[in-house]
Amino acid sequence: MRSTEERVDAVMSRVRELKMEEAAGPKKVDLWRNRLLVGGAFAACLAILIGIASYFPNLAGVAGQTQDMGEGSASILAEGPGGYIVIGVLAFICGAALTLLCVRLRDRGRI
Amino acid sequence: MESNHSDEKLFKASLEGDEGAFKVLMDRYGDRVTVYIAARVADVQEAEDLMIEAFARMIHAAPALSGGEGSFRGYLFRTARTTVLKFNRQYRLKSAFSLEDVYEDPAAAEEFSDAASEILKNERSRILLGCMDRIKPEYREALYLMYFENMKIREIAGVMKKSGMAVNQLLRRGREALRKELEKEGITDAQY
Repeated sequence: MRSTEERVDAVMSRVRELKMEEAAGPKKVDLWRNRLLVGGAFAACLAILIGIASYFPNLAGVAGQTQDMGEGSASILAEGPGGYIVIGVLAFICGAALTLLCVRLRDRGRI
Repeated sequence: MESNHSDEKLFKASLEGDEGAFKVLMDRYGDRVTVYIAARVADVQEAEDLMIEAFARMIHAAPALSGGEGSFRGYLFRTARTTVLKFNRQYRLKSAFSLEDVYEDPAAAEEFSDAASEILKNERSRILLGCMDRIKPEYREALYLMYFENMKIREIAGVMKKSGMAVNQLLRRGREALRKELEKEGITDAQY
């Protein structure tokens, strides 16, 4: 354990480091990594949305009219209640993922 | 600067470059914050480094404290909590608040020079801490801040980032859980 004087010196030294880091701005590597991360997440979300949209082309139709749907959706939704379960599970997963994202962003003090 | 000044005055003087004022603050809170952090990282040396990081971040941020009593202490413990959570997330460590590892390390207990060491050495306190370690981490942290750090509900709410009502509920449930644990150890005369 350090003495009080040593602790004070260590704090002051760290404050100087923090000031220098702030003056230098964010590290370039971090900046690029963050951009890649955001870009990747955006692309993945877009791919999922397009995938779901093409798999369930008539998703916006009236519930129960499964006979009008395409082949892919028909295989899942033909049973009626099964389709609602799949959509329910997907909606739950999306909601949970969004909640987790918000919690993590809040923990990082970004929102 | 006089050592009987309020924390907020001393902090303001520290920001203006008064190293003596900062020493007083470090004397007051250095060990206490280290014990609080050690309950989350289970390594006193690491806890001391994180305590230094928390102090440094607070000075660097130079927050305009509201001036009310306890505003410095609340901000400091909140900064310490954020710092240790970030550290645990970075190294994927458990983040539960546990005092067991702190007082089970005799070398660490010897090194704390103030009231913290009394808490760690006193037998009855050791039983209390042992019982506290068997209740939920959230209850434990709220009770620790209330009874070991003498914080008010408002301050605890600020540190734990919860509403006052939620803290009240944590304290009530924590006291109930602690009472049951103390009874198992044969202590039935606990006063809250």
